[in-house]
Parts: sequence; C-alpha cells; structure tokens
Amino acid sequence: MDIIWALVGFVVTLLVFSYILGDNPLFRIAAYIFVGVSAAYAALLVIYQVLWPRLVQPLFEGSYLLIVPLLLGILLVAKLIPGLSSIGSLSMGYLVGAAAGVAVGGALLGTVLGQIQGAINEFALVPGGRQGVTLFMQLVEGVFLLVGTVTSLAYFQYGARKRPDQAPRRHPLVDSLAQVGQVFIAITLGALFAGVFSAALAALVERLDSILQFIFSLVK
Amino acid sequence: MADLRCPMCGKNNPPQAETCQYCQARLKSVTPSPSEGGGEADWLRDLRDDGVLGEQPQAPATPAPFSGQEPTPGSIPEGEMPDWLSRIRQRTSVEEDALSQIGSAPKIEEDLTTAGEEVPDWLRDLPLDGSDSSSIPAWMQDVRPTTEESTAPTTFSQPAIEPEQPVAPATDGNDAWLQSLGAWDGQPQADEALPSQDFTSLPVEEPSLAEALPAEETPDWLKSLEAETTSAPASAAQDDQDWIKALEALSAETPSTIENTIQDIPPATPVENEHPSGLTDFLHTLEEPPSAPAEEPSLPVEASQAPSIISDWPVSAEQAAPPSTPPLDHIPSAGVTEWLDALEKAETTPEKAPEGAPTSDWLKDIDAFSAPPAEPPAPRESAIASDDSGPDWLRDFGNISPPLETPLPGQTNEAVPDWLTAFGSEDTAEELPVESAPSETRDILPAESLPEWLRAIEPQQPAPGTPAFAGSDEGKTVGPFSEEETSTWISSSEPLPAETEAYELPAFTVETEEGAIEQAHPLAEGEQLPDWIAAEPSTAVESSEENGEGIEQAQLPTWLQAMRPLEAAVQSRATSLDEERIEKSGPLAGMSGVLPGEEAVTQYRKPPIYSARLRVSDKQQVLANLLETVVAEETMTQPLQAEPNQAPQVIIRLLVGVVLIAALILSLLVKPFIGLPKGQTAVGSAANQVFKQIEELPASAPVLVVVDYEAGLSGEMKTAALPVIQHLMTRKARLVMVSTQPVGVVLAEDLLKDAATPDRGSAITFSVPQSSANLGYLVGGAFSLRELAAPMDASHPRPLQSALPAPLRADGGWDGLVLKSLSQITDFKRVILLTDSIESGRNWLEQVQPALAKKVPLLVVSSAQAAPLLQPFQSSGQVNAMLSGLVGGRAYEEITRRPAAASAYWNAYQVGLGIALLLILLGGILMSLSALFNRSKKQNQAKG
Amino acid sequence: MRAPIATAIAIAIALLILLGYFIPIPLIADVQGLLLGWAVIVAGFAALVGIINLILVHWRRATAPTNHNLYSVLVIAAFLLTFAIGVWFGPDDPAFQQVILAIQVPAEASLMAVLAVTLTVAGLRLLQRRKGTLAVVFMLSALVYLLLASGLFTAADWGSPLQEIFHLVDRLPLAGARGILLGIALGSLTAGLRVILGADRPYSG
Repeated sequence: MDIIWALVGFVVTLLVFSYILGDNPLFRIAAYIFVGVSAAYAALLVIYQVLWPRLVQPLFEGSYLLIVPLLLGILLVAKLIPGLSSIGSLSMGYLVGAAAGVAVGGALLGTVLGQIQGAINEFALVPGGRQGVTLFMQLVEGVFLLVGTVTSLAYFQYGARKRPDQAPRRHPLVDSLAQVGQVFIAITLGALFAGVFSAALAALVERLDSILQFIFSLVK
Repeated sequence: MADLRCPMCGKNNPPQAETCQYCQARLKSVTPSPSEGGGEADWLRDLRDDGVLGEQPQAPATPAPFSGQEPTPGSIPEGEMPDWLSRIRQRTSVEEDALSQIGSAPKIEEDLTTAGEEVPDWLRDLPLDGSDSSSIPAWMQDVRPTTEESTAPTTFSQPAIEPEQPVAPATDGNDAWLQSLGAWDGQPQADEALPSQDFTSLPVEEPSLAEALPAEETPDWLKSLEAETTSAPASAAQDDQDWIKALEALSAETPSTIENTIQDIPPATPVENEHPSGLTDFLHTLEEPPSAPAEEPSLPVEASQAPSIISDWPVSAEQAAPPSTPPLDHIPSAGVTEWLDALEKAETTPEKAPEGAPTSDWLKDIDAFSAPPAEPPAPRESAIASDDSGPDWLRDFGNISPPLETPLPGQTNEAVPDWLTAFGSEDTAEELPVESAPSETRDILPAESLPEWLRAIEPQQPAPGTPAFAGSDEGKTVGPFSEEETSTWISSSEPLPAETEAYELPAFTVETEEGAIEQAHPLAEGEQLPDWIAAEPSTAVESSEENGEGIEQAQLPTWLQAMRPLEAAVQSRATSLDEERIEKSGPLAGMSGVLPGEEAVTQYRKPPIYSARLRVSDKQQVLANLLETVVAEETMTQPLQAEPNQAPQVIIRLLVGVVLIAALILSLLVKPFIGLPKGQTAVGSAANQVFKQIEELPASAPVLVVVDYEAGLSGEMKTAALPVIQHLMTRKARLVMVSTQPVGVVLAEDLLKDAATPDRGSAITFSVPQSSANLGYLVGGAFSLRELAAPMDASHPRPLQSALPAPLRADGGWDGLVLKSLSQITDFKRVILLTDSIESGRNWLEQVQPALAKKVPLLVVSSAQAAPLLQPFQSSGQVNAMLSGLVGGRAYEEITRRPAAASAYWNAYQVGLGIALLLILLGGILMSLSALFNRSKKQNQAKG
Repeated sequence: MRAPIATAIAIAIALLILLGYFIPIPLIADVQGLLLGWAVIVAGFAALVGIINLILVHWRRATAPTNHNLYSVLVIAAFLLTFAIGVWFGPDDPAFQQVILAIQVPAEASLMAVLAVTLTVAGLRLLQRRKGTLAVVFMLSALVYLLLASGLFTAADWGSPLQEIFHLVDRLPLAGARGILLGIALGSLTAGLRVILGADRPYSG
C-alpha cells in the first residue's frame, strides 16, 4: 500500500514540476486535485473537531447557550444565498469584532510592548557576553538596531500634510528618516529573500530526494 | 425723366429706344437678365407687366435665388436700362399728378396701408407707419431737420463697421453731389449695373428718397414709387401706425403669396455666388451717385457672400412701400428670422416700438403682430384680423429654423431656418460686417456732411406724423429692418439666431443721432477710411469704377464722376479679379473689368450643406482634442508591456531548472562531504540554545509541539524539526501536538512517525501512540490560541480541554496518560513552535506567549523564510531559543550527533545555494555591465 | 448607518474581549472565554461556508451549459472522494491521513520546489528589472545572507575583529525586521481600533 501512495506522490510531484516548462494541463490537474483534497480535509476537520464536539454534542447535552453561535452560524450560511446574504452581516460583525479585540490586545501586549522591550534590551550590555562581542560593539549594535528600527518605522509613516497646489508630502524629517529606513528594510528583505530561497531550495532537495527514494524503492 | 441716357455718349434717348439715337449703342442689355424667364424677381416682373399699382404680384415661377444665382451688376451690359426702371419712369409721368396732390408721404403710406390687397408682397412686409421713427433709417433722420430728429438713440451692433459716407461727399463736395444727382436723375445707365433681381434694397432707398426729396427733385423712378403709394387709398389718420402693422396687414392679406415666395427660397443658397454687392441693381445706382452718402450701401461686394438683401432688408423694412414687390425670398435670412420668430411668439401687439428702446425692440413689436393692435387703424385691423397668429409663412419661418451654432449676444439660436444656418456656417465673418456697413454709414451721416441738395430737402420734409420714412417719429427706435439691426446680425460671422430672445443691445451700439454724427464726422471729412473699405472690395464701388474705366474719361457721366473720389479711395483695395477679365460679347465686348454676371448665373454651384454643429475656434478645437485624448487615454486599457523576449526567458528558466535539478540530484547521489562549520554548533549558537532548553527537560515532561507549517515547507521544516523531536523523544517527553493549520494535524503525525523511524536516525525507543497525543486542529487562529492560553480558574478548570474538547489522537483522551495532568497552557514544560510563517508565529507569540509568563520556555523552530522576522522576538526574550531552516537542523543534528534528514540533504543544499549565488552574482554583473554599456552608448550617441 | 445591529455587535464583542486582556477579573475573563468559544464555533461555520462556496463555484463552472470547466470536475471529484473517505475512516485514521500525505504534501512541496527555480531566475535578472540603489542593496543583502544561510560562514569561525563584524552583519536584518513587526502591529492596532470605533465595517457589505 505504501508503494501506491509513494507512486501517487511521485506522480503528483512530476505533474507539478512540469510547471518549470510553463503552465500546462498536467500542472493544472495536480493543482485542482490538491484543492479538492485539501478542502475536503479541512471540512472534515471542522466538522469533527469543532462543530460536533463544541456545538452539536454540548447542545444535545443541554448547553443551550450554544444556540447563540448556532444561530450565528446559520446566519452565516445565509451568505451563500444571494438574497439573504445581508443577514449574515450579524455573524460577520461578531467575527470581526472578536478578531478586532484579539488583534488589538495581542498586538499591543505581544508585539508592541515586546519589541519595545527588545529594543531596550539591546542596550543591556553584558560584559563578555553575546558570543564574546565587546561592550563597545554591543553598544554600536544597540544604536545601530535602534536607528534601524526607528527609521524603518518612519518608513511606514504615511501621514502627510495637505498643502495647497502641492502633492501631499511627508514631513521632511520623517521623509529623511524614511530614506534611511528604506536601506534597513532593503537589507531585511534581502535576508528574507535568502530565507525564502533557502526554504524553497530545501523543499526542492526534499522533493528530489523523495523522487530518488521512490526510484530506489522501485529498483530494489 | 424717362429718357434713357446712353452709356456711351451720354445723351438722352427715349425710354423705348433700344439703341442710342446718337451713337447706336445699345441701351438695353443684350444679355438677358439671369432672372428673366423665371429667374426674374416678382417685383420686377410686376414693374414690367403691370402698371397698375397694387396689383397682386404673382409668385415667382422660379424661385428667386437667394444668392449665388443672382445676377451681378456686371451681368447687365452697360448702357442697357432695366425694364422695370423704364416702366417706373413711364408710370411716373402718368401718376405725377397724383403724387403732387398727395404732397405728404404719410398719407401716401396710409393709403398704401389701407390698400390692403393691392399692396405688393414685399410691401406688406414693410412698415407703413411713418409715425414710428424707429423704422426710419438714420440717414433719413439725418436728412430731416434737427428739430425733428429723434432724440432716442438708435442702437445697433456693428462692431467692425465704420461709416463709409465720408468718401463721396468729402471728396467731391456738395456741388458734385447735386450735379451727380441731377445727372443721375436722368441717367438710366446708372441702373444698368444693377441686377434685375437684386431688388431688396429698393424699398430701402426709394421711399427714403421719396420722402427726402421734393417732388421735382425726385428721380423719375422714385416719383413712380411715390405715385404707387399715393394711388393706394388713404385710410383714416393712422400716423402712428408703424411698419409692423403694415406687416400685419400685409401678412394677413397675402399670406399665400408670401408663403409661395418663401417656399421658393433655397434654404442654403450659396451666398458666395450671390451678387457680390448684395444690393439691388437700382440700389447700386443709389450708391453710385454722389448723392448716396446716406443711401449708399456700398457693400463689400466681392468679398461679401451674404445676400444683398441682408444689408438692404432692414432699410427696406423700415421704409415705406417701395414701388415694386420684393419677393420675400430675398428677405435677409437672419433678420427675417429674428422678427419672424418674434412674430411666432407674439402675444401682445404693441403699436409702436417703445421709445428709446434698443434697436431690437422692433422685434418685440413684430411679436405682437399676430394679435390685433390696441388701437389699430380700421383697415389694418381688418387686415390683421384674418390671421391672429400671424401668417403661415411666418410660422414656417420658425418651424424650419434649426438651432444655429453660435447665437449672437442677446439672441438665441432657436428656430433658425436652414438657410439661415448656412450663414452661420459660412466663413463670412469678415464679410458680413462690411456688408452692413452702409447702414451704419447712413445712420451716422453727419448733418454737416450732408450735401446741400439734401439740406435743401430737409425743410420739405413732412411734418411729424408722416410715415416712418418721413421721419415723423424720430424718437422711436429704428424699425425692424433698420440698418442697425441688419448690421447687428450681419456683423456676426456666426450663425444668427432666429429668435431675438431678449432684444438685447448689440455688442456695441452707435447712437443714431448726435452720437452717430459725432462719430461719423471725422470720417465724413475723409480723414480716415473705414476698415471695411480698406479690407473689403466693394462691388458697387468696383462696378462704378469699372464703369468709369470702361468709358472714356471725357464721357463719364457726372454722377460717375462724383463717384471718383470713392473710386480713388477704394482703388487700392478694389482689386482685380474682374479687372483682367475682358468682356467677350455684348456691347461691352472688348472691355475689361466688367463684372462677371454671366458667370455668376451660369456657374451654378450646388448649395453647400451646412451643418449645425457648434463652431469652435482652432484653439478650442485643440483644447477639445486634448481633453478628448486625455479622457480616451484614461478609459483605454493600457496593455501590459510585453516582455521583449519571452522565449529566451522560458529557455533561461528551463536551463536554470535543469542545471539546478541536475546539480542537486548529483549531490544527493554522490554526497560530497561538505563539513559544517564549528560555529553552527558553538555554545552560543541558536542550535545550542535549543538543545540546551530540551536537554534541561525533566523526564516525561509534557511538551506542547505546535505544528504550524504548511505542507509546502514540510521538507525544510522536517529537516529542522526532526532532530529536535528526536531529542525530545530521547528525553522521554510527552509530546502533545497541536496545529492551527488543517494539514498540520497530518504533518504532526508524519513528523512523529518519521522521528520515531529507526532508519532516519539512531534507534529511538519512543512509542508514539502512548507517549504523544495529537490535539488536532485549532479553528479560528487567534481566537483558539487566546482560548487555549486562558488561565485556569473555577469556571474553567481545564481550559485546554475547553479549547480542544476532542483530541484527534490521544490515548485515553484528556483522561489518558499523556493529557491527564494538563489543564492549562502553563502545565507544559516547553512549548515548541514549529512554524514557517510570520503570521502564525505572531499569533502564538501574541496570544500564547504572554500567558506563558516566562514560566514555560517557548522554543521556535522556524523555516528559513520566517526566521528574519521572528528573530526580533528572540532578541526581545519572548522566544527563548530559535532554530531555523535546514542549517539549523543540520547543526542540531551535529550537536545531537544523530544525522537525519538535514544531514542527508546538506550537500545538495550547499550545492544549490552555491549555484544560486553564482547565478545571482553573474546576473548582477551582466546587468551592470549592460547598463554601463547602454549608458556609454547613449552618451556616444548624444555626443555624435 | 449601514448594518447598525452588526456594528453594535462588533463593537460590543470587541470591547468585551479587549477588556479581558487588561482587566484580570474572573467575570470578564469568563465572558471573554465564552465569547471566544462562540467565535471559534462561528469561525468553524465560516470555514465550512467558505468550503461550500468553493465547491458551489466549481459546481457551477463544471455544469455550465457552455464553456464548462473540466478542471472543476476534478476539484469536485477530489473533494467528494476525500470527504467520503474521511467520513468513512475518520480524520484521525492513518490511512486517511496518507491520502493527504500522498497528494497534498507532494503537491505543495513541489510548488515550493519550483519556486526555487523561479527565484534563481529572478535573482539572475534582479538588476535587469530593478535599478537603483535600493535594488543594489537588496541584491547585496541577498547574496550576503545566502552565504550566511549556507552555514559555511559563521561568526564563531573568524577572528575577533571579523567576528564582531560578522555578528553585526548577522543581526543587521533585526533592525528592519523589528521595524516591520512594529509597523505590522501598529497597523493591526489601527485596524482593530477602527473596527471598535465603528469607522470600518467590513461586515456590512
């Protein structure tokens, strides 16, 4: 049985690899099958792991408060019906509101405060620490990272003053900071490119290795 | 008076004489008038055929050409007197007694007005009321005594027109005027240059003269006119009746005739072929004599493409009944349309034009034409009563009027007939104003510049109350067909609106009275020539000039001599097209400079089709085109710039793919040894930190492993995570797997399975079913994570179970060996996040990490693509240790000394990175060199 | 105001959940937990609705009278087959999971593998498509961090001066990454606050 699944995986891999030659029906076949399979699996997981154990089962057990999410869910299904799609706005409002609350709380506590703390920590000079880097270099690193962080943030500052007969333009100070921030962001994006390529290359190596393993398994 | 003067020898001949009794020169035209045989105008035919005044004229068998087809003055051979003039003169003698008995023009006009059915067609269009001074041309008002002059300024818009009158009188003087008048009086050849059809100015001039001149000084033809008007029965005293009422009567009584006439009007007769001067033939004679400073239309004949009636009509309209019936097809287009449209709209009938009203007020009066006047004279009232709403032909005018292009100020472009639209479409901008210049000339004729003969006439002017042309009501505005009004619409090169909407003052006005005189005075002295004279050659002038040149100097008639100053004045501009032309037939054979009347007749040109489109200037057109282009470009889909070389790109991609894949396969097969630098496994390295965190785990410690990566990066993530999981297995940790990705559930199982597989690493005795659990899929992302990280309290004793009530795989469930002791997130000893995306990592770090409160170390094994953005969390201390990518896994394997997938892929990975580095570097160098080469090439081209 | 009830619900839910982050009161925590639990269920419905909609779209394309898409037939067939197998075996069954591992994982991993080739070509033409200082900086950064990602160059392998420089270079992306993270977080804050304040109503459409 394993060899069958290995064969399936091998075929699917070859179909997708055909994309190197350009878009072709073989690639499309693999892609469309992939979509159908993943959708079915996600639906199964939702039913088996969420709706049944967290809604249907408790309702049968007497947790009638869950009628509220049930109604919201039914209203959400109304989104599929063109004439009734507006009814689903209530459910969407609920989801959006919950997401907004979670996003605000998480961003503030998890990222903003955490990264502010991280920027401060860069100046926590540790004698002999950090892989033997000197204190001066630690200070230089701290300043460098702080400047990079601030200027990168300035790059995301899109607020501009309106001036008559002129295009909106950022404050000169913010603009100059943003210019510096662009360099830092370019460096970071270069690192991201390298990371993406590394990940893709690892995936390619893994796929090639799987192909070879399948071939070796056939030879054996 | 009826004698014909020979054009050759200058001697008088009997009126019936065909040839001169002295020199045998032909006195009548050899060349038939173009209007003869159908082309002749009705009024002329009337003059010829009937000597009975008031006889109903017949509708023209052939539509009288509005323009273009009309004969030019030059078409009548010099020396031939028109028939109509002969008949006029014949009738003059018969009616001389009646004329002398009448004595006053008003009575004549009243008689004429009450004549009703006997009024000729053209006369019915004209105001008969002499009480309305507004209908009096300015030049006539100038003729009248000062005390009788109207105090109301008559306005007209004639921007480009300047008076012409100083030309003749200033050069010849009054004596010459008088002489010429005397000579002209008996000079039938003066009419020779007049086109037989171009009659529309006839009513303009003749009544004026009839009023202005004493009977004995009146030319024969004018006397005949007076006789005609006198023959009409006089009605009750209707001195205040204006010309409008006459129109009403006229239209009411003879609408059919007028309709027929109008129907014969070619809608878009090419005005280019029209009589150049746009004047009636005999009116030319009025222009040409020196007595014409006030009468002289002196239109820019050659350049003028407008019909002659354009300039003449207003004058004729305000004058008394002319001796003949002008067909309405010669009604000036715009002018007629204006007042006819006004007629259509008429609801009330003001008897007179309001005093002091602008020139256009006469239109208002015409509006009321269909309604009975408030105090109309009985005859006219009866005449009007037949048609309250105006005659049909008048309504037709309005009905056939298409909107014109650009209305004049104060005028709308509504209800403009086609033929009128043609005017607007034609390029007569510079011609029309000149054409109407004579009117202005007449209007502003200074009293001082009047010839003496005219001054002598003034005391003989009828008293107030006489007909309009007698100038009884000086204070009234100028009549509907006043020169000013004509000038207004003619002066505009744009199409004229048929409807004088607001009767506004024209663009600029010239007062008829003192102001006009003041303005005209310097010109009267000949100090400067009007622009229109300098700019436009005048056919009238030219014809007279030709006459002078064609005839020996010694034989020039006196009236023609009187024209010499004018000739001299316009000599520079009176070019020439016809000067070089030599007459080939007729009595003028061999003579040059004869006006090409035959050509005008024979060279019929199809009337151009004039569109009613908006006329725009070049600049406007350019701007409109620019706007149109901009709009079109905005709406136009910009095609994506195609790659210049698509095929090479496919080849390059294929080549790179083949090279890369071949190198990787070769590396996987050969497995060249590429050592791992010791720095990757140093004490302070990332792998070492993770290793340390796991190494510190107590035995059977629960560890939450979050498998949050997609299947696409499972290859890389597995190489990084596998040694860590194996390390955990060796530490006998209870592994609880969870994922926020649907496929993560399966990948977690696959990871555990691979980690526990002996052939992928060293022998690991780890029972996956018994020592691990798969909580499954956390739906909702951040919602589930926040719920998962909820602290335990009384109401939520087991938040973990609340978040994941149904583990996908757990031996014994939440009460099993693996999960039994786990109630909340902090119950785990380690939380290991396997993620390949920043979003997933952020969610865990934002929602779960704060709940860990540094009690539970959070370790991250990330993909290389997410590492740069997850690194700040490690730097900030939110992540205790982080391992990323295949390099991290290889380093971890090196540390744990359990070679697994990372070690298997390491060689190929290094080769692949090396190839990519080389290609990127090569591409960068090539592109830089290419850019430098292109730049230098451009510089060379710029220099070269 | 469009969708006032939905707006009220969104604002109320957001505020109640947000309070649970900052006010350590059991009642608020319970309310937050309850609302989040409901939100997870509704999110499950939303995921299901999304999947159903996907299948309906492909159904319409497959059953279109003209120009029907055969690939959509594949989608529906794969969905139905997988769903049937999953219902039959259950999602936790290793045999069913093998379907995913044999189809979905190879497909996605292969796509990522193809990306490697594409990125290599893109790197080759990097300066051809983009010119300027930032492009050069980006390319140099990519080269440097590819070298570092190879694992052949680490700070520990060099002497002290170069080690410090390499350490600095290795941490250099941290500055920009922190800025980006802060920017993302501030953007999330802004978006969430706009929803809480009712300025943004993406649910009303």
